[in-house]
Amino acid sequence: MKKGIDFLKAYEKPGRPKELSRIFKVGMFVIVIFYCLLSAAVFSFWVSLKKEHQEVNRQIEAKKSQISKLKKRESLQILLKQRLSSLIKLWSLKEKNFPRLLSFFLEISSEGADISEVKISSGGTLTVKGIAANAFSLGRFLEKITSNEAANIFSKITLTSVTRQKDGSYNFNLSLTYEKS
Amino acid sequence: MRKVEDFTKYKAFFLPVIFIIVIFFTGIFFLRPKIFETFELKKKVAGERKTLANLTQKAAFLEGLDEVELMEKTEVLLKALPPEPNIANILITLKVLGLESGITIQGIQVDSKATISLKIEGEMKKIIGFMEKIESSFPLMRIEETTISSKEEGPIRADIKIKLFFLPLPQGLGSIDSPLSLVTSQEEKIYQEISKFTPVLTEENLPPVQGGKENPFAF
Repeated sequence: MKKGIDFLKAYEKPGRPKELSRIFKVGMFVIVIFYCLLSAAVFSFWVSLKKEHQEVNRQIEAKKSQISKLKKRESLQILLKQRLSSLIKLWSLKEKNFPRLLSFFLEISSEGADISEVKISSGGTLTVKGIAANAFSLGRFLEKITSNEAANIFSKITLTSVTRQKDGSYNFNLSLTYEKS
Repeated sequence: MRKVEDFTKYKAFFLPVIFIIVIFFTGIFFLRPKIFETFELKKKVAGERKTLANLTQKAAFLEGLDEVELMEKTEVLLKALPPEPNIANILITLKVLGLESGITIQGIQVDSKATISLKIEGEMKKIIGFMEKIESSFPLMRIEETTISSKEEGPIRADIKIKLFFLPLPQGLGSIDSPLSLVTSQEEKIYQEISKFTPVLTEENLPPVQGGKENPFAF
């Protein structure tokens, strides 16, 4: 009888399925344990978060009711803050000090030099019209208006015109730009 | 016969495979959504904790405020910066200030809701005093423009343009958890300055209001 080799039939090591089954069982056991632990961890974390969520919400409601009782104070505080914030802006815009400017002209108008008109505009410029009795008075007036004190108030002083009258007096016009007070 | 033999050979693998399938499906349809839900909840709780912190801070801040002091301050500020300009009261204020300063008001013109023009006469010092009073009285006013002219004879004349300030009341309180702004030191300083301003209109200065019928017993 002829004996042949069956190449299609796999070689089976004796005891192999048993070994594989054991590995499978251990592996599965590990997976199940890991899965159970993960599930337990997720659930316990979820439960603790749910409790925390309820507790925080309870506290939020308590604080809200506490704040609702203090509504009057809150509205007063908002009103106070609104007005003060606006006043800060107004104060920062407070760049002109008309009484101070006029007081300065009152001080420097001396004998022989009279100021007939002072115009202070909102743009920050001043125009001054005046009459000086003679050149000496005019010179003294101009000296005063260019003094150190004036330098603190005005950033630019321009003598726009001087006209000599028949009687020897001088009409003068000045243009000044004032500094922020 | 061979089939039965194969079945018994792989029998040991069935249970693990079934377990794996069960784990796979419960993982997909149960554990995975729970994990996502937990993360969402964690995020939500973090947000709520933040809200609670804001509310606690706000409640503590409000508890610490002195209601009487707040009322006094807001009263002063409402006088300084009224919700809308009361032209009649402002005209009376200017009249009273004119009388106090010793100047004569020649004319008053209400240019708009927020601007008033004045024509006045008087000595220079008194005009300056009048201007100082305007800028340091309630309600807040500011001199925008002025022209001062003097002739050789007669008093000094001044045209003054005054700007009035007003501010509507806040629309509402906002949401309950919105934080309250604190008054800064600069704002407190401004309040201290404003509180020194003199209220011109007291009950004595206000014109008497005729009410009801005339006295029937007066002849």
